Amino acid sequence: MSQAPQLTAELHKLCGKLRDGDMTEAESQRLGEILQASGEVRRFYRTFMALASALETRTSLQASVDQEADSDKNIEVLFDLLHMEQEAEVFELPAESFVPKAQPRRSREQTLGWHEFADASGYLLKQAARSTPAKWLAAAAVIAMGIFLAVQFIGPSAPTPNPITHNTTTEPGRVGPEATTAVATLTATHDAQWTGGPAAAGLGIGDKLHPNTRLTLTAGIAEITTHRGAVAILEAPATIELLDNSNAIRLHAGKLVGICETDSSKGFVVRTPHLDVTDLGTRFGVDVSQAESSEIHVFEGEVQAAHPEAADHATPLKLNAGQSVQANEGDTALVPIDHDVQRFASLLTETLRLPGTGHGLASGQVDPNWQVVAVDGRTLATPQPLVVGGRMGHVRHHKNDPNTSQWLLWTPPAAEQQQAETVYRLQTTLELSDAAALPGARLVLSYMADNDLRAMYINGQQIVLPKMDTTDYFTKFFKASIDQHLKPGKNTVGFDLANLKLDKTPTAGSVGLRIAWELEAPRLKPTQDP
Amino acid sequence: MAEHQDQTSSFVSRIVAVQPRLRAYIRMMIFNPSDVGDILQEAVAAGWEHYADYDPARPFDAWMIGIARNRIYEYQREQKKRAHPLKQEVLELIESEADDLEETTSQIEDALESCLGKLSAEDYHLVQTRYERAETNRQTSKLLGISEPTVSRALSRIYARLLICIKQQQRSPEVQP
Repeated sequence: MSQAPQLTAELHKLCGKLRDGDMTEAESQRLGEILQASGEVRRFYRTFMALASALETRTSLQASVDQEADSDKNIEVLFDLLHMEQEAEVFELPAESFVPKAQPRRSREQTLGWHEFADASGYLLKQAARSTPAKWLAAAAVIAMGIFLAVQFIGPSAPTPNPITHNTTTEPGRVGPEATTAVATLTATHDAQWTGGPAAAGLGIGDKLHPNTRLTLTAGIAEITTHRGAVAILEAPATIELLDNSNAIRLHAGKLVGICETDSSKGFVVRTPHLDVTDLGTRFGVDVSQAESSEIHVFEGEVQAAHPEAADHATPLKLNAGQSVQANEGDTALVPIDHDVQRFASLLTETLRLPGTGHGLASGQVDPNWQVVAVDGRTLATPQPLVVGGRMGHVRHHKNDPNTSQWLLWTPPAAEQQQAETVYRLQTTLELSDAAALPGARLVLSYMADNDLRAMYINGQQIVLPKMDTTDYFTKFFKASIDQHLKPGKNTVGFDLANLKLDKTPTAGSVGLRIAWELEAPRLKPTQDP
Repeated sequence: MAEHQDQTSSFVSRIVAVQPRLRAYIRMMIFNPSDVGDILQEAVAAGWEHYADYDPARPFDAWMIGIARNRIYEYQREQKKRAHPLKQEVLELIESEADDLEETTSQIEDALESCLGKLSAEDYHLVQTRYERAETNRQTSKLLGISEPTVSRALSRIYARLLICIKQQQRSPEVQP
């Protein structure tokens, strides 16, 4: 190893100041001197700025695609890193170039302390154990065990699509002290937060749930699967307690949807202060939102319901799809009420976010999924690429979000700006899962345009969109919900845009479009017994 | 018609392939990070406009860097004096040796996720906050509730670790996950 003086710390500091746009005159002069003095320093500068560029364009889309990390292998790599830290070469400069600023060689423990190693390996273990859905697939309601939904989009920069999967009991998960008596597993969550003492601390997907522990969901949605395969979906606020029976749950307060679609799960019991519900193979909703009453709404199949204090508890009431009853405090009678599915809509449907315009890209990048294909109804010989744009903080364009959607822009050449009200067709191919074929499936669109969105086309069929308010073109999302012409697989989706000034004369500016969209669909049935 | 479709596809796939090093080039020449995206956007638009003039016998990245260089000079003229704290001759010297940029950006691309995974949870959280939720160190300091100098120092430490890790991964590819 060369004994030449090392400028590492100073070089890092100065390059860091440059990267952060915060440099004094004296610092820029010093950096200029050492850059001029050495090719090695200049090479370091290029590497440093290339790293800054890579971090600035990276999104955690990459991190969530990287869920395949093998935790054991990464720990091995960390061990190697610790060994290699001892021999790490720092950038060294010819001794004669400048006054040296000697840096003491740091010990291995200082470079990467053991506690930091533990942090890093612990982090990797957590990443491996918890199957978090990829960031761009967000489920508002969760999917029963055994269902895989994949939404794919085309393009060379597209990450490998990951299906949403949910842990079966074979997945590693955090196991509590009474591991042998666990009766259920937390199989999926969306923005869930819990309270309920030690059992609730850090609760995550794959964790086993034990009986006789009260848990309160204070935010989000959670899916619990009993070890007999019954699924209970909760929406906050809700308080539950699993019972010793491996197929029963007590709902103290809140809303729950129960799904029993496998033979082993039949007989699933939900107990509330006022109702005992036994599922005979069905989907149903139970609501204990009011302190003094409980309601049961049957969506499919059949349940048995009884008041826990009823004398004829042995002959419970049978309820079929479309029937609903209420049980009240101090009254053992079950009272028929209006059937209400809408109240449980957020637990019965699933929402899949689809990649929006410019998703995962940086400013200036071409979005390979979108093109301008026609002008005034005339198909272009060469489809035109659209580029992520819209200045950050620009007063006109609503700020981009690479994780959901960004503005895509195209500047028409002068030859295409001949007429007032020139209309441009922007087109993409949208890949939808099988859920698109289900009754009730709909594409929920949030859109902005620069500056007038005239029409939408799905697979050649026109959809009329509400007229955009001319004052809000660039700054707020308009919404539309489309339930026609959708199909599983590839859908050709086009948008007709005009680009006008307020006085309706053509403008030489860019045409822009920004779309964020989701597919809402009923929950699919599981395809197999667990 | 198919030929024109091919032209679009070929431009898009070439741009996607060179974008990291093109952006890295612009980043090292431009002082204000928020202008980098605009210049990249303009360079890509200019590249498309002149794509018919591109000679496939030439490396595409060199051609696009030439286009970006022109745009950078224009930008520097517009910015007048304080385009960059480093003197023009220093920037030109750095740029003249930038043949290594392709190799450098590839190494970073190959190693970055793995090296980020080796950071402590706190450092990773800071990187995520700085580059996904904030645009400046100041915004980061507000989001995390720590001082701006603390953010700067932490970033320097993180950059140092990442650069060492990237270099080590380049030397010992057999240990890459």
